[in-house]
Amino acid sequence: MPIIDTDVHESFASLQDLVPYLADPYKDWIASGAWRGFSQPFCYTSPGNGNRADVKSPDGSPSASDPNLLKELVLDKYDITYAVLTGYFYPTMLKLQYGLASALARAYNDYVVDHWLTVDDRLLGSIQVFARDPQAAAREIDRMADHPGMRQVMLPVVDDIAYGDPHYRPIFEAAERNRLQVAFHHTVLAEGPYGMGLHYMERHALLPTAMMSQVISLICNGTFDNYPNLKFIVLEGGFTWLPSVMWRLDREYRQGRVEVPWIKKLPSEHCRERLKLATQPTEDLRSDEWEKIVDLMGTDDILVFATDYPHFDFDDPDASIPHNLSADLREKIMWKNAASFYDLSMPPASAIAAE
Amino acid sequence: MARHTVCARDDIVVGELTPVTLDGGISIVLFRSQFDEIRAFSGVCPHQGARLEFGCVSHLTQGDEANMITVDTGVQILRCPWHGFAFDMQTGHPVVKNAKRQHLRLKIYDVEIDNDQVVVVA
Ligand code: FES
Repeated sequence: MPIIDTDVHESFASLQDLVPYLADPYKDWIASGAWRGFSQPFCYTSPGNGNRADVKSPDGSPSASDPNLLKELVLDKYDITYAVLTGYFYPTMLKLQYGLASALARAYNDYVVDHWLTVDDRLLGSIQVFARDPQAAAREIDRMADHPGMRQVMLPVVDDIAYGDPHYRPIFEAAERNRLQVAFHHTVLAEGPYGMGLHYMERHALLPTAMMSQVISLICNGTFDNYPNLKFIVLEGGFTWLPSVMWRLDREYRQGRVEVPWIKKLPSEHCRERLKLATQPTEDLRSDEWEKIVDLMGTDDILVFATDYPHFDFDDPDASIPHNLSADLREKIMWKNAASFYDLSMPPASAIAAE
Repeated sequence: MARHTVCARDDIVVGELTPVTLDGGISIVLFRSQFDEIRAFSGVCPHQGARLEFGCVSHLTQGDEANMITVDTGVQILRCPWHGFAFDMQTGHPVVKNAKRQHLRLKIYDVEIDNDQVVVVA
């Protein structure tokens, strides 16, 4: 069965890898070590410190910086048809120095094209932006959109942005005019309604609440209605919550439409028609529980598979989605739903044979 | 169908919801519009049964852009006093339709004026 992995994290080995792609003054700032880059405000507790402990680059650099390792451990090992690179360097986490942040997004996109997208045709990309400056982000989307590997705009979920705010509209406009989709992935700044909690486990368990907030924000502020050609994908944010959010939003809309007449459809219809949720981390559901959740969603078009390579909570394509699901549902999760989202078809047999 | 004479036309104040109970216990709310048209609705909300005499009559809001709301004076709505669901007063249909849930249409009764008396057909 063909497989699309919708969430694979590539990275650079060091911030210095971006220097060739920067212009002064930022080139000089980064080259001189004036900024050490982002770090998470907590300790990882997994054996591999956030990554799979068995993933090691031969040169000892961070595992996610080696495309060949990704080819070996994911693409070839599981015969992945396409994998979508989703990054792990999100300039939107910077809350000041907007010029630097936009330049870093630009440099990172060029780095990904040179070091990743050219390495293997199975890899697809996400355009990284500095979302706090939506006009600059829109320019970057326009600049990168012609690259055939770029399939979506990545909007990182931080601790102070709900993307339905009209302030961010230029980003959605740019995505729509360039026929791209929009992805959401958390960052190490993402948190729940009362912060990150007091433990890594607490913070990690709260991540779905950040994604629920984004979906609610997009629906209530008319993003689905304003950009009818856009589709949205939530990565690594859980999926079992969607029936609850859809029911709740539908009910709120029935009683509160007077305030939000720009919402033109039942929120659940918007979600069913244009939202995808990645399955990783799969929360170890039994197959009957998978089927119940899909039934409650009201469509089997929503779930898409992801590994989250190289992170510690990696989902194995062979083990994480039960084999005793119906063949149709399994195929939709592993391939069809993401293929329709990203407008992908099977590569020609000759291309596969040449791999 | 029976004809129920419920009150004098002038007992109904323009713009207000007036409750009446028909013989047999059917609850009705009457509404007299600014154009002097009298309409009769079920007095019980089809959602969870709130008494619609405590509801409010207003107009449909419209808008295509977030934070830009206009009022469509061409569509009058009755909003339930409990959860605020809105019903089109011409058709009884809910403003927000939900095909996967109960349809929740508000029942509308025929009204006749006979010698300045309001007659509800139910
Ligand atoms: S009882 Fe009328 S809206 Fe709920």
